[in-house]
Amino acid sequence: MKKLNVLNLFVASSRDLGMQKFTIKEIASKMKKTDKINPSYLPKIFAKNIKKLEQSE
Amino acid sequence: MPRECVEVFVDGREAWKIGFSGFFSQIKGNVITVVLTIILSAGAPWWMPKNISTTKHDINLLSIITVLIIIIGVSLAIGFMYLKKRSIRSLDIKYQTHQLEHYLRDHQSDMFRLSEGNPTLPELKQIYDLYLSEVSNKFRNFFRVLIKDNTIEIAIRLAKDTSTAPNVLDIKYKTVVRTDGYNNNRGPNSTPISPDEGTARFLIEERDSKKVLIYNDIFKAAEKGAYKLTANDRNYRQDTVSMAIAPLNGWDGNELKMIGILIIASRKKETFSVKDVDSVSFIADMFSRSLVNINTLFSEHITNIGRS
Repeated sequence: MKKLNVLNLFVASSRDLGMQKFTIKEIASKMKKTDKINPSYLPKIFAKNIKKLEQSE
Repeated sequence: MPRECVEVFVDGREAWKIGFSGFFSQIKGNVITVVLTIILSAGAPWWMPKNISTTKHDINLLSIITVLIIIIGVSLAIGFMYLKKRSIRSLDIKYQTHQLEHYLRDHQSDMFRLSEGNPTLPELKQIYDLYLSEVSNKFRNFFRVLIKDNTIEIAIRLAKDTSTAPNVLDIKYKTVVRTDGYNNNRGPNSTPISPDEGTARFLIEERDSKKVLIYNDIFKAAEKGAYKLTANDRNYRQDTVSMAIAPLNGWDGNELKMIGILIIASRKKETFSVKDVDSVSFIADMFSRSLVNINTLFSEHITNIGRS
């Protein structure tokens, strides 16, 4: 947990209390990736069904 | 303290500790309050005269009692009015939650009933679209009551194979429904988002701990690489001043996967906070389960239609 200073001792934010799981830098580094995601993570069956449903229009 | 442009949370159980009131609700705050009260009540304020002559200042006991009774009466009335407001809101939230689950259950039963009549693919699509539209409106009503913001709108992105070539899979998260408060011109310019980057990638790779993203400024977040702007974000910026984004994780044949993304947007600044995280996750989980059930039902029909 981040050390509290005198000012935010009384008005602690969610970051001060350690509730936020990542810093902006960490979020950005995860979102900036450009390589292909592991295909096994993707919902293939669901995605194919949605495609078939939409093709019926 | 200014909020950050993007925040990530898993749950909001500790949210009561945030801010000034949070500090004084904790044990250390209680102790400080008691100590300060004792110190202050032990001495007279510096501005009070040291000797009060009773001949100069006649104290009318009846007036003091009258004023005290009025103060107590007004305080009690305000307290009860506040309590009434809180109780009505709490009951309203419970009602909306019940309506939501009721709708999902009934609509799913209706779909099972309809499927027995062997509907065609266009008929299935029509039922599916109606379901998505009604469910998103119910989500909107729920969050409007919960967060006390009438500018809240809902959008749902679902995983879809966008490939045109046979035997090639190209999954993207495409907006399948948005509530009517969004700009009407968004539809034709809607961009499917890739699972390889941006919010989709983040949520897929973090799916085990089910995180909720809260955006207080998507443009600032985009500058820092923590959001990938779409054409609609740039053209209709007033629609998404702040957002809460949650993954829709559901069973996909052999594993739990991210089948879609739930987007709750507001036209107001800093609408969402850690206090809303569990409600957002609850709605996302409930909806995912319903989506998977309906998709399983439809997949059987789609396969049967394909065979016949």
